[in-house]
Amino acid sequence: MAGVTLREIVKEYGDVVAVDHVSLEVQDGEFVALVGPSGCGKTTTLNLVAGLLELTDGDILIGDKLINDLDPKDRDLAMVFQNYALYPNKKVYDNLAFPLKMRGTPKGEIAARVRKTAEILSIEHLLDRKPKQLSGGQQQRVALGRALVRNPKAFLMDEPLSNLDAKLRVQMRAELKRFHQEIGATVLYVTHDQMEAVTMADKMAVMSGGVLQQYGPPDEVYRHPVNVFVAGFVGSPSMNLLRAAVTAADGQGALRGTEGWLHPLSPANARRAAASSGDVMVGIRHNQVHLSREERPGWVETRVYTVEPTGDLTYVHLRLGGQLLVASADAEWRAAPDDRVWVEFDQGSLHLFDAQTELALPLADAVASGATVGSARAMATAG
Amino acid sequence: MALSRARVLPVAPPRARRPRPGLFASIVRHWADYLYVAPALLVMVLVIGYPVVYTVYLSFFETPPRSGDWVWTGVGNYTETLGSARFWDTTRNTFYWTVGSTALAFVIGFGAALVVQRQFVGRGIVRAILLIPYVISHVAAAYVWRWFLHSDYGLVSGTLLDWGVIERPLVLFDSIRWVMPTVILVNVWKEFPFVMIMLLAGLQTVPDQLMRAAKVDGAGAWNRFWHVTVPHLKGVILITTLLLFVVNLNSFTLVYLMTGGGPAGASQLWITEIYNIAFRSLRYGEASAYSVVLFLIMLSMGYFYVKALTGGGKSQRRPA
Repeated sequence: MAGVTLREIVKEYGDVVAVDHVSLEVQDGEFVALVGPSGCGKTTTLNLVAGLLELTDGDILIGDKLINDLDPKDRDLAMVFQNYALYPNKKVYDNLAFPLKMRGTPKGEIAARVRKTAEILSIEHLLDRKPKQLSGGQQQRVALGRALVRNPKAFLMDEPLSNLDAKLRVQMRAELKRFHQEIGATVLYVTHDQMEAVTMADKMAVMSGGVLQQYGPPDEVYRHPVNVFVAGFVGSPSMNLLRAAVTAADGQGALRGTEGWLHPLSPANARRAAASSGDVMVGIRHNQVHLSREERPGWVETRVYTVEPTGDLTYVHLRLGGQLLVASADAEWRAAPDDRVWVEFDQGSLHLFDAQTELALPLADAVASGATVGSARAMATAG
Repeated sequence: MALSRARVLPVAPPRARRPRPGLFASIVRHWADYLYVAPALLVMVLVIGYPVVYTVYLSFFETPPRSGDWVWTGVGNYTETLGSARFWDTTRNTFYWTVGSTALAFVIGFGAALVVQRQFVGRGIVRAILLIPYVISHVAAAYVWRWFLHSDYGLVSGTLLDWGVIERPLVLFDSIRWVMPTVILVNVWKEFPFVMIMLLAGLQTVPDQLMRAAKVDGAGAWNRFWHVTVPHLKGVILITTLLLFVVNLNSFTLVYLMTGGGPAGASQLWITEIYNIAFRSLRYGEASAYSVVLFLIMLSMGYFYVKALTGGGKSQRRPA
């Protein structure tokens, strides 16, 4: 295994910049997830690493070897595809053996390695079958086996779980994570499902519009999104984002929403907000919105839009002026549409972004939660 | 396996089986459906069924050209046909023609498909040019090539003579040795675009992800072709070669117009031979027997044809 380094890589198609100066370092044995919405450049990035597309600019290194001009077959990377891309005319055994055969591995060794791989993935009993005779999960495992069998320097995975049904996806997610931990593989994993990234990856790289928005451990990206895009993309349900002006009320800082609501700010948050060039975007996660059925001073009045019980907890969709706000409450919490509910945003976990630049406003020193933005790289959002 | 057992849901009791309606009842119930296909059926019976029956009947008679009489000979026509050396020479020619044309047209057509599938400047024009032989009529093609390759006034022979490349006229159509390769080449020229179109259509459905997987797996261009493209095209290849085979087995126009089966029967094919027996020698009974023999041969090939067309899905069935 080896690390993978991307240095300022660029891929242009005519006037369209699909990947815009992306730099990323994947350590040896690390699981890195590339996430972003469709068309954000994540799959293009993966294909550039695989050598299936030609770089416009920048460098790609595996270990410390520059591989910009190497053919895919000489890069010694293995790839797992969304549709598994198994050779339909070959039996499972021959699918697994194919990459070894192409490299001129002796027959005896091929047989031994195929058996060993099949054992690791518990697919020994499927070796004589054709891909069409396998279930989705089994095909997925064979695809993984074909990547694993030749001991590549790194694994590239292109949405490998998105063709599976929800239940199997959760199961395979756990299997993949386990697989990564057991063999210490370097994995570059592309997904549009931020949940997969958060649950499996050591680090996640959030992309949008071909630009790398933030790169760091999922926890850090979740807690300290560097801009409005990352804030809205990571986490489920999405973070509530409200536009507000910074003002003062009762001698303390406050936010005045475009719909007229007023919410006080703690001194620390007031100082952050003051650094903004104008309006701010307020980000608040569903579990940091406090609910009250009675009016309280400083709380904001909202109307219930709808209530979604999920079993573990209840999501409450609230109408705040023309905007919707999601909050979570106890499993038993219920309300009728248009009931009046008062909300307060938890000051300690309030996210503030400059509405103009959409960048996070830095936490005032040592006041708020004690965490820092750390290594997260902030870049202006594109689009 | 506990998982699969847990999934078993209560199953509705099987519906009581209704007695199967009789044939007549079924026809009565679907009378409108039969009415819709009746015109087509009637035409088929008239233009296919009647001639088949008539030909089989006729094949047991001798029909002397000068009289209008039919003389019963039993299987005489058959023994005469199958016993003649000429029949076996023609059969050999026909297979030479069919296998040679099909194989060559396939190889050249496949190559052309691979070339014009790639992106290059002027691809559209090249594709159009390569299609020309396919859209030219057989009659026009036959005459053009006859004039091209004629030994006395042909363009090729004349030009080569003028340039001093050859000293004597190039004899192709009039040479017992060279006539078959020559007519086969013309036929290949006429047929390869068909293969090209069929395989080009197939090539465009080769999954891109499979190609990329093969690249990453270390397969070079040849291995990708052999391990991904060819298996993917298996069905198209089978259908294309079978179609060509059948068409070539039934060829008439090109050979008849270019050589008339000559010289000395050296390019005689089954169909040209039957045409000669029936409409030049006016020996209808013998031509009918000949036709029936061919009909049986074609029928047995049709079996494989239908099997290939319909049985291809067998390996694609998924277990429940």
